[in-house]
Amino acid sequence: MTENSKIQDKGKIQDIRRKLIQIAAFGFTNSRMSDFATGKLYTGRWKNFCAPGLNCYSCPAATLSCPVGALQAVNGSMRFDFSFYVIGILLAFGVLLGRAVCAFLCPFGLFQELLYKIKLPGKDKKKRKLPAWSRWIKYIVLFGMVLLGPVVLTNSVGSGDPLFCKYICPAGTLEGGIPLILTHPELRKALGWLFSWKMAVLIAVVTGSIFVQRFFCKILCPLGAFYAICNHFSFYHISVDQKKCIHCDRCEAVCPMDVDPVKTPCSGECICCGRCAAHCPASAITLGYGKAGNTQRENGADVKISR
Amino acid sequence: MDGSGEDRKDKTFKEGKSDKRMGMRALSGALLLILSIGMIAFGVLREETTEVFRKAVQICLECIGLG
Repeated sequence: MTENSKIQDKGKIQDIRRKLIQIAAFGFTNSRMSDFATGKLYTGRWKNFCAPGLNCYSCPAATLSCPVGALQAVNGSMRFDFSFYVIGILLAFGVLLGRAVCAFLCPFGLFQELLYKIKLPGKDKKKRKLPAWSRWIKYIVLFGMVLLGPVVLTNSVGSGDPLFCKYICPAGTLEGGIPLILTHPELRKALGWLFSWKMAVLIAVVTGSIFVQRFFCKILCPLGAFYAICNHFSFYHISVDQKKCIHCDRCEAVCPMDVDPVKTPCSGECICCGRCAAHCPASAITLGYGKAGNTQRENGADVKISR
Repeated sequence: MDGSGEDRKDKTFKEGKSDKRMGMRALSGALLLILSIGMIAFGVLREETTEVFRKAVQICLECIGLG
């Protein structure tokens, strides 16, 4: 067995392990699959808790609350302008896992990865990169639509709309809108331009995810933006041993988020999926808690290790 | 002092800086974790969970595209 095939096998095993964790997380977050047939929402006490990933709480199968929806609901309520509870939960997940939540626990992340596996007719899919400036859009969505919007844009009684949920969230349309419209004839009568707009956004995200890995995560997800900030101080992180690195660029080639782990090991864009570590021929990249390797970086530049 | 001695000092210094950065990361993470627990507790005490639950158990018309 050649070295290359050993590395590819290691990569496949790592992908399968991660997929199993993603499926388990999806199952836990949406354990009430039988409710899709009836269109009834779960109303038990688990809805007091927020899931770590993006998952609409109007999904009939949802067991937990959506953190983005919950955040907007509290921020936009008449009683509060800021949710300590939801931000506290997200901060705890962020510190413990960083953006690994996106890679392992987010149902919508899993959905995007499955979409990317769809083969297009003709040649093999080549890796498409989005422009660098597009990564900043999700921060505008987080701060503008999720945190400030419901507080600033209020109606006469002081309550604000959940702007992200209302105008963008494709998870809401996919997991909540479509199943509920199918099972509730009375809701179908209320369909209007907003539903058409949200369907258009969903179709755009689905199409984008077929061509670009983690399309929504890269440019629009406010939860991804929050965890990206947490990546800089999370316990779970990537370390690169520059002494072992042979600069083959394989890590950058396999990264679904177009990160170069050697140049920017603590990048906010890194979802800590571990593909780079699994494909590294020199075992220079490690992923985990604590000091997983000598990260020899100074001020964003490569450190020359004197010999 | 010969070149290899200076190289060892240089490498030790840089590894030391890397260790210090890792230590700062762990400390900042620990402080933020404590803060997050405090925030969750404060949020529960001021009954934010009531708002979360109330929104989560009803059909969110905005989420499903009905305004």
